[in-house]
Parts: sequence; C-alpha cells; structure tokens
Amino acid sequence: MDTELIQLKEVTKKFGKNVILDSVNLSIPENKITGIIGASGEGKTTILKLLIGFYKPTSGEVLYLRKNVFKAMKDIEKCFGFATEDGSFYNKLTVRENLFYFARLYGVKTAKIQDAVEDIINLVELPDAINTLAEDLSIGMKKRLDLACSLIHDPKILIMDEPTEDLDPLLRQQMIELIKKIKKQGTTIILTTHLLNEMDHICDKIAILFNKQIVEDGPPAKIKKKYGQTTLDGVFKKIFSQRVKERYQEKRRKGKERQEPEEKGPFPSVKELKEVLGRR
Amino acid sequence: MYNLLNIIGKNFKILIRSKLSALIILLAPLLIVFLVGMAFNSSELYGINVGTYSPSENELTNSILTSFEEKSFSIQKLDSEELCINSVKEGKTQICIIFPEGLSIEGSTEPVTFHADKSRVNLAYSLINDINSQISSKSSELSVTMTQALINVVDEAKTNLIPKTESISSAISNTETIASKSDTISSSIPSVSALISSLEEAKNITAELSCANQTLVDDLEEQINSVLTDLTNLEGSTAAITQIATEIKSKSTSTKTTLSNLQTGLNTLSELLNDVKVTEAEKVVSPIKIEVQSITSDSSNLNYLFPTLLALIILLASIILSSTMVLRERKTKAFFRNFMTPTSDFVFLLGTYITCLLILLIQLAILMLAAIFWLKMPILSVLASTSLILFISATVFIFLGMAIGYAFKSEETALLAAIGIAALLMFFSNTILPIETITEKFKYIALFNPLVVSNSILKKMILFKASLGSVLPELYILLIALVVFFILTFVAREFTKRRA
Repeated sequence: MDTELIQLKEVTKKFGKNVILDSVNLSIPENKITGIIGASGEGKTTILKLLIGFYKPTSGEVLYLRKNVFKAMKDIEKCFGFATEDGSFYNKLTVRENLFYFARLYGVKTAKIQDAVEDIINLVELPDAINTLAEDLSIGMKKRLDLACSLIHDPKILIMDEPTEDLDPLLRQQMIELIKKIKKQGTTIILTTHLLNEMDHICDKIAILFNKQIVEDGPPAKIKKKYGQTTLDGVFKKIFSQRVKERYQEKRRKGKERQEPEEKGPFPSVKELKEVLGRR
Repeated sequence: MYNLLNIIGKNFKILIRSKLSALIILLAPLLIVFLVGMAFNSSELYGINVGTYSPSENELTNSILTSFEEKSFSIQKLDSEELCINSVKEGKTQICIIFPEGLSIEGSTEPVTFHADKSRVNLAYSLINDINSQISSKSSELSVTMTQALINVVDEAKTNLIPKTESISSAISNTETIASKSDTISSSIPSVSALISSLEEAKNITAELSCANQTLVDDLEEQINSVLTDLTNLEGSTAAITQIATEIKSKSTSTKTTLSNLQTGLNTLSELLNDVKVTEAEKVVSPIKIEVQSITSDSSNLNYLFPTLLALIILLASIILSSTMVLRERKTKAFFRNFMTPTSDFVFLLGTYITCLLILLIQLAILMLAAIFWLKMPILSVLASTSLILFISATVFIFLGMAIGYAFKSEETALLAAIGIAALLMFFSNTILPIETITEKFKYIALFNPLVVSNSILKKMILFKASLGSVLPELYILLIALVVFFILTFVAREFTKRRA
C-alpha cells in the first residue's frame, strides 16, 4: 500500500466571496507522480500552493506526514521544491548565480554547493548556458532553470505547476523525460497540467479537478476503464458533459419546482451553460 | 550572516546589471552636488526683474533705480501703476515699485509703494527686504546730507557766539563805568547853594559896610549880585546835570541788567551748544548702528543649504530607493521561491535594508567628498559625528520607505505614496516654509518630523560644530522614529506574506 505523504481533507478555499475549491479531498502517495488535471482557472495552482502552506485553507486541513502543514513549515521548506508556471528566478542573474543563490537560501552546505550545481545543471541539461543571464534563455531553458532551482536542495517532493506549458512538442517530450528522470531519483512529484494526454504516460495517479472539486482520482488506467475511454482527454470530456448535464437538469428541476411552465429542448443554451459553469 | 551576504550580493548584481540604475546611483549625487554647488554658491539674488512706475522722474528716482541696477536687478520702467502691478501678476517682474508724485530730497508725504507676489513667500520677503534696504540706504544718504548742513550751522553759531558773549561782557563793563562816572559827576558838582548862601551872607555884610567906601561896596555888591545870579544859574545847571547823571546811571543800570540777562542767555545757549557732542550727520541719522553678524563663518547660500541638502537627499533617496527595491523584490517571480526557502523573513528584510543603506552610503560618500574637496566645505572636523547622524537618518527613512513598499501592491502607488510622504515631511519642515509659520498644533507635530530633526542635528553639527552630546534629545527622537519605522516595516512585511 502506498504511503500517504500529503492529504487534503475537506479543503475549501475562498478568495473573498469567490469559491475556488470546495471540499476537496486528495491524497498524494510517496515516490509517485501525481497529476492534477483540470481546465484553466479550475484551481490547480491553488491546490499546489495550499500544499506548501502558501495559502491557508478557508476550511479543512492540509496534512504533511499526518501533520498540519502550518505546524510542519520547517520540514516543508526543506523537503519541497516548487517549479512554477512562469519560472521563479532572477532574470538579471546568470544560471549559475541563480542556482548558487537559491542553494544558499535553501541551506545547502557551502562545500556541497558547487557539486550540487554541477549535478543539477547536468540533470536539466543546461551546462552550455551556465553563464547566461536567465533573461536571455529560451522558454524551454527557463523551464529547466526553474526546475533546477527547485531541485538544487535535493527535495523529497517536487511540485511542478504546468511544466509543459508553452513548450513545443519536442521540448515537451524532453521535459517529460526529465520528469521521469527525476522520479527515478526517488522524488515524489506532484504536477498540474491541462494537457491531459501527457499525464497518461508519466503519472502514477491523477486527480481530475472539475467545478471546484476533485471529481475523480486514481491510476490513469483505472479511470479510463471506468469511463470506457482510451485517453484521458476522452475521460475528461465525458466527465465534463456528464456534469454539465447533471447540473443543467438539476437547475431545470429547481426551476420547474418554482414555476417554469415553458418547454425546453434536451440541450442547454449558451447562457444556461454559462450559468451552470459558474464563473467561467 | 552567510545568507545575508548572499542576498545583498544578489541585490547589487541585479542593480549593477541594470546599467541605468547603476549610473543613477553613482552619478546622481555628483550631479546634485554639481548643480547645487553651481546654483547656490552665492548670497545674492539673480535674474530679478523690478517693475517701476514713477509719475515724474527726477534725479532721486533715477539714482534709486541706478542703485538697483548695481545689484544686478533688471529694471523695467512701466507707464502706469496698473501696468506695473499687472507685470507682477503675470510673472514678468518679481516686484513693482511705485514712486509717489514729487518724490524729492525735500521729502514727500506719499510713501514709496511695493507690490510683491507674496505667493512666492521666500522670494517676496527677501526681495522686499533687499529693495527696502536699497531705498533706506538712499534715504539715509539724503538725511545725512541734510543733517550735516544743520550741524554745520550749529557749529558756526557755536563759533560765532563766543566773541559775541565777550562783547556783551565788555558792554556790561562799559555800562558799569558809565554809571560810576555819572556818580562821580553828581558827587563832583560843588554845592552851589552853600556858596549862594555864603554870598548872601557876604552881601548882608557888605550892606553893613555902606558907610565906608560906598562905591567899592556897591561894586562889590554888584559883583556879588552878578555872582549870585551866575550861581543861581549854575545851581539850576548843576541840578539839571545831576538829574541827567542820575538818569544816565539809571539807564546804564537797566542796560547792564539787560546785558547781563543777554549774557546769561547766550552763556546758556553756548553751554547747550557745547553740550551737543554730535558732529557727524551719520550719527544723527542713525544714532544706533545695526550690524547683522552671521553666527556662521561662511556666507554663501550653499553653506547654509548644505545640511538641508544632505537631509533632503537622505529622505528622498532612502524613501524612494527602499520602497522601489521592496516592491521590485515583491514583484519579481523569484519572490515566491524566496518564500519557499527556509531562510527567515528577518534576513530578507535585513538584506534589503543593508543594500539600500550601502547604496545610500556610496551616494553620501561621493557627496561628502565632493563637498570637502570641491566645494571646500569645512566639515572634516565634524565628519565622524555627522556620518553617525547620516547613518541613523538614512536608516529611519529606509525603514519608512520599506514599510511603504510592503504596504502597497503596485510599484506606481508605492512610488506615489513614497513621494507623497516625502512631500508631506518636506511641507512640515523648514524646507519650503519656515516651521515658525506653521500653526501651533502642527508645529508641535512637525518638531517630531524625522526630516526636521535630522536637518536640525546636521545644521548644528555642520554649521555650528555642535558636539554629539549637545544634540542628544534630538538624537533620541530620531532613534525612536527608527524603532517605530522598523516595527512598521516588519508588520507590513508580515501582512504581505499573510496566508489569505
């Protein structure tokens, strides 16, 4: 049985009156790749930031090794690496300077920094760009630099927010290979994406985020089988149409109970679809 | 410590790689010193346009205007009072002077009127003062001339009075002699009546002698009668002479009294004139001489301005630099990763503070070196204590700027707030208007304004060479401000990373 490294229990997150996540339950197994998939703006990044204690849940709790993340901040700061969607490094520093800077901030021992930098540079395949200013790197290289910055302190858990976003198919493939390589080193990886088919190949577990909730989670093969689909794309489309239909019917039923005499067709109008989908 | 150096090093690398920032950091203070040094290294007013209107020009008005031109004021003669006033309103001239009709050396009942734009408070008063002193000087010059003429007359009177007094003395003496002589005349006149009576007796005797030689007797009697007649006549004359002598004596006594009174009067006048010690007209015109001695040894505007300049540079550079640096750090994509690291918030805060402080110290060092070696400012003797105050002041304003940087979300609003707060501090200080012009309540608050306090300490140290001990109360205010702003910064930072 998998060890549950991180758990989200009935986590709701609101920004003001805007509900982003509603009673989310999720567990992240150790030494596996967990993918959180969902459409843009569904709250994937919010989940990731809740995991590291950057956001505080409005209700519910996030546990790391069965300990509330806010009580385990010291461990989280040391054990987590976070590769952001936009890249979290200084553009005016070179690749080497960024890595040295973050290595020191992460508390990597001075004697080990040089080796750690070299190892990570080789891992992300940026040795030729080591003295290049980050702002002069290509998008793919920036993604790899950000990944390198996240891995410089050799974290147990690596969080990757949209790692393949903005990359061309070739670079995307290279990034997937890199993720696999990192996994082989025994790192637990949590990643988000809206490019669903990528997850098929690399994720051990996926969680489908739809309309503020995790509607499905488990191994990709199991989920595909459950929905009778061959791809995760197909699964997602099915879930989407099912949920929209359910909510539409529920809405109509509520409307009928109130008054609603007029007759309507089986499919929702664009306006109704927007109402059903809420904020999107 | 290692992380602190790491953060400071990173801040400097980023700053230097932005070439414009590096250039501003190094060249801005030099540029400020150069411009201020060139602009304020004098105590005169320049480029002042003076509008004038005089209904009738004469030698006096022209000489006043010439004295203005000697002060490098540009004179614009206007055709009417209204045009003159409008020229100030329109900003063509800084002051308008209206000379009254018939202004002359003999004086005028109408005053010379100034019309100044008091909205430019400092300039207006400075200009009024300057021009007023020019006219006063001209007026004094005229007074001196006229008073000197008066003094000369008094002097002449004094000189002429002494021989006149002596003449009167001589006249009194002569009068006394006349009186005495008239007495002598009176006393010298023989008693004719006694002689007559003797002759009457002699006549009676001759009557008794008729028996003897009648002819002789008759002759004798005739002679006696003749003598008697003469004597009677003489008696009448002597009586008249005596009366005249008496009258002369009486008159001479009266004249003596008059002359004595005149002499007393002249003596008193002479004494009074002798008591007039002033012989110089200038002393009459301005009996009390005023001399404004500067309590500082130097006279150029820059010397007075330098402490304020330092305080202002610290305020503006610190507050804008630190707020921008904090905002830039917050807005950088790396801010999130910084948050993720186990390095404490305090180290990041300290890193930003030390970076700002080092940049400011570089700027101040350039400024001080330029002031010492180029502008020859006498600050070497107070360099150590001044540096300490500069360090504390810089720290106060850096923390204030950092608090602003953490309190606002966008760089624009933070910059606006930083400039706004800096402007507020400047308004409630001596920079724009004297602090004495502020109402009592606000003045009390303004006294605790860190800009006012640091400016005051720097002024005392640089201009009056005050020791650190003598500015301790103000130093405590500055230290309290430092603690308050540090707490404010820390609280503001806590709010920015609040987990909503």
